[in-house]
Amino acid sequence: MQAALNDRPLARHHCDLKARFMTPLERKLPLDVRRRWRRGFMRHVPGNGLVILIVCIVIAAALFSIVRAVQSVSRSANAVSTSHRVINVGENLLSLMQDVETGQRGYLLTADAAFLAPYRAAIAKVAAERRALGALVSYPQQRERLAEIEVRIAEKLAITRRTIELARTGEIEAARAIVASGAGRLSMDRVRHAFAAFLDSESRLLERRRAEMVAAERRATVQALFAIFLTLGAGSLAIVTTRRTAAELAQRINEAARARRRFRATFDQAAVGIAHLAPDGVVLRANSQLCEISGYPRDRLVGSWFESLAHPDDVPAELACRRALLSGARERYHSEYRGIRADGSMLWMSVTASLVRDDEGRPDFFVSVVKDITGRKQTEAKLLSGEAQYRAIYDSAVEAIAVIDARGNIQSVNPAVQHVFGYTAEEMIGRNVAMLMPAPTAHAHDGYLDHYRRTGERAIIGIGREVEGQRKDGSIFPLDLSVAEWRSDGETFFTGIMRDITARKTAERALAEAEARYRLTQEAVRAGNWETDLASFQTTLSRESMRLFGFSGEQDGRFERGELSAIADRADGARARAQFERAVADGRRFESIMRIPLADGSSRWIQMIGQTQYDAAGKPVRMTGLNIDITDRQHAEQALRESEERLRSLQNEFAHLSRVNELGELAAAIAHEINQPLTAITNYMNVGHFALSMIGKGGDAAGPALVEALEVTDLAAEQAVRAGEIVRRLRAFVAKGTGSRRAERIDEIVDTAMALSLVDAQLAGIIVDRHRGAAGAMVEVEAIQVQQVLVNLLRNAIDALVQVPDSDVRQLTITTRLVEAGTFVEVMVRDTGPGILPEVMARLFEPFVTSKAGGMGMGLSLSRRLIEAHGGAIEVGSATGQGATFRFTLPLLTESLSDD
Amino acid sequence: MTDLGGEWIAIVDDDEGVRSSTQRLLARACFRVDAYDGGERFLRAGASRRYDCILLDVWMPDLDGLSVLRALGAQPGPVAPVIVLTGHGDVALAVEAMKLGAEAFIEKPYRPELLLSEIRRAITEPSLRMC
Repeated sequence: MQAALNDRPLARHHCDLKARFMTPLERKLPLDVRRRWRRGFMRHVPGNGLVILIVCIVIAAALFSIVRAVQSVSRSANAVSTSHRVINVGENLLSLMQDVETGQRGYLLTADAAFLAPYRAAIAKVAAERRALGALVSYPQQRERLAEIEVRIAEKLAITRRTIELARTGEIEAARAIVASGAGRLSMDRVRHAFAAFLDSESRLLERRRAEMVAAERRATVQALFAIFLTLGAGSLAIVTTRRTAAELAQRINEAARARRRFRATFDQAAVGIAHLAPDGVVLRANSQLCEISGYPRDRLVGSWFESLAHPDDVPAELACRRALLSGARERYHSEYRGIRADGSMLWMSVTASLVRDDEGRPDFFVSVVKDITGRKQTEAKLLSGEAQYRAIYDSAVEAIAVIDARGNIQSVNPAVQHVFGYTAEEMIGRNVAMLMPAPTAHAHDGYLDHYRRTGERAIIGIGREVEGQRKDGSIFPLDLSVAEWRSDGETFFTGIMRDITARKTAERALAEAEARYRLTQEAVRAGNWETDLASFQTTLSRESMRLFGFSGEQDGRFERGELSAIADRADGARARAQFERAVADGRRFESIMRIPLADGSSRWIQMIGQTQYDAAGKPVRMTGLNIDITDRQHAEQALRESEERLRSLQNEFAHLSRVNELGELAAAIAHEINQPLTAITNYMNVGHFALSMIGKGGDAAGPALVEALEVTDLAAEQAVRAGEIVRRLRAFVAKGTGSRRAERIDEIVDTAMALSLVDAQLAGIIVDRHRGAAGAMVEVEAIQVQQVLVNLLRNAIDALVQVPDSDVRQLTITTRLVEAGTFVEVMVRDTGPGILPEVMARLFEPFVTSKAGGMGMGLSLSRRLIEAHGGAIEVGSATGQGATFRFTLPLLTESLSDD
Repeated sequence: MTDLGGEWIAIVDDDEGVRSSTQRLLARACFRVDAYDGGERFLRAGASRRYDCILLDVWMPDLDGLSVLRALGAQPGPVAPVIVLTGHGDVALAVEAMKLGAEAFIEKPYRPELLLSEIRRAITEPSLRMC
């Protein structure tokens, strides 16, 4: 245990880590108070935060309103200043206009050019002032009035300019006449009026703006004052709140310290061991009693894992208990387990633990109360050991064990009794054991007990017997019963041990029934046994076997070697003998079928089967087996064969008809094919005839003419052979099938069918691709039938392809390859035609289903029957507009590939 | 027998036997013969105007006889008389060929004399085909 504690540096490290992150104040405080302190502060943070947030918002709002007020005052001040400038510039402009007027008058009256200088200076300034005024005025009504002023000034300047011009050109009188007319004065009056109206209005505007400015200033002052008060108020609130928090905190720390002192007193002086554990199991505190129990000093306990006190085997249990507390699954736990003291001795501890949670419900620390129960445990163990052994046997026994007293009343029963009889222990204890027996025995049982008490004669005790028991549900079952007698405190008791032997009885009965059934079966299926001794080769036949071999009588029969096979048909007998000897030699199953000629002239077919039996040394000693009458089966098989024969012949006939029909459809293409060599032959013959006919007519010399005649005869013969080849293929195709299958090369069959079907493919612009993926593959078929299927598929493909527009690809692909791990040959015919309509697709292989105008709809249904008769399968795949793909398979002849 | 000799005849047929035997037959009859194994090749040679008569097979894999006739009809200028040869005795096909301007229609296999007389007639009396 010393070592165990030293091996736990982690615990101390854990504490060091925590301490490193503490403030100096925190370090001075005891651990639990420190925790409370931190939690207390944390709890006030949300409240403080809210106050601070509100204070901030209030101050921000106050500042914002002050800024707004200042902006408003500033705007008003600007407007006032603008009005002042407008009035200044306006008055200035009016005074300039008066200067112009004065200059003009002076000049006209005196004709002194000195007056023109101030006139010109004024004119120049008027333009500048007009622009300045225009830029300043923005108020809409004032702009209208300014426009009026502009018009009047322009009028005035025009009149002035004209008079001065007239005066300068010497028409002083004309100029004066204009002045005398009063037009100039009238115009000047209009200018003055316009200015008066403008300036008057601007003055009123100025008054209004001044008033607005004053109001804005007043508002700003009020807002500023309000904001200052608000800020002060909010600030005070914040200060008060924070102060209260601090006060509360101080109070809590004091309370905690008091509670700690109180707790310390009870903790240290308790009569039991107490430990406080951190949620991770590190001992935070341990009282002196725990130190005494465990034998460790306090400073060794604090900081170590609590579970290090436990026996290694019991550590998981302790950890599981604490986890249950942490998860909240349990409030407290009590557990008794082994611990190890500091001196290494074993200790039994009773540990009661509960979890203290903080105010938020988070785990704070465990309180574990530890009691030393080593003494109690040792006493218990001694008491238990004897009883326990007996109990263990009693409770776990498969046998039902019941104890009865001398009067037959049940004292105790083990669980198996309840299981076997169906009663609960409560229903049985105290009642007479007769309740577990069927009626006759039950009534007599008291008598048996009485008899034994009086005479001491033992019927069952120490002997055992098969008896019957009765279950609660009334069912009766066989029991193996043994009884022992014993005494306690002067009273006699009997212990009965009972075993339910229903299963054994059932098996015995089943065996007997099976034997009986076997005998019956032999008779029913007309089968009989036989056995041959392999030393003497004597064969014994059972009664039924004798009957099968045509013997009458009720006796088994014994036959010497060869006698039995002589009864059978000669050939069958000889074959059976050979098979028997081979089976004995190879240790294999013997099986043979033989015909037995019967006295009435009929025959009986017998199947003999047998198996060699060996002795302990592995030497064959005899062969045993059955004779089975298979006459009926033989007859049935023969009938089936005949029926299949008929079916095949019908199918052959039909296939032939279909081929003839196919030929009709091919006729046009074939006619074209044959006409070509015929044309060539006629041409050549004509050339030959002409050449020969010229001999002697003086035209050609005989030599060259003969040479040419010979040449064209050869060429004609070649063409004739070509025509003959076509005819030969046709004849083969329409010939009646022989009905027999032969090993054929699949590629040869495909090539022949292609030659026959594709005569006009090239003419129709069809590109034919041939892929050979099963070179040399052989199939056992009737070639003509497979060719027929292919011709059908290829003609269908051509019919489909000629529907494709000339511009598109008309492609026909014929592929042979091996499939299904090389056990089948597949032939695929794929076209790029318009495909098959979905509604036709599903019923494609049914008879009379066709998409061709003149078709019978027999081709594909016949094709399927022909392929399936050969052990293959045919299928189609098509999507409308993407052509059709037909595939059929045929079983591969296994030895065929190795031939190549 | 009209006196003819040295005229150029074109034979367009995909069947090797027919082509070479006809070539031989016509050579024997003192014609000069060019043989083409398909309609497309014949048109590509662009020599249709050189011939005095064209023998044209109907069923050919690359370009059939009727298409060749159409192509010839579309060419400017006079076209040599065309005699259509086919293995199929198809009246509809014959009518179609005549409509497209064929001079005559002969079914294979034909009697060589018939072919020669048709050629001679086509060369000497080409106007007949306008009737």
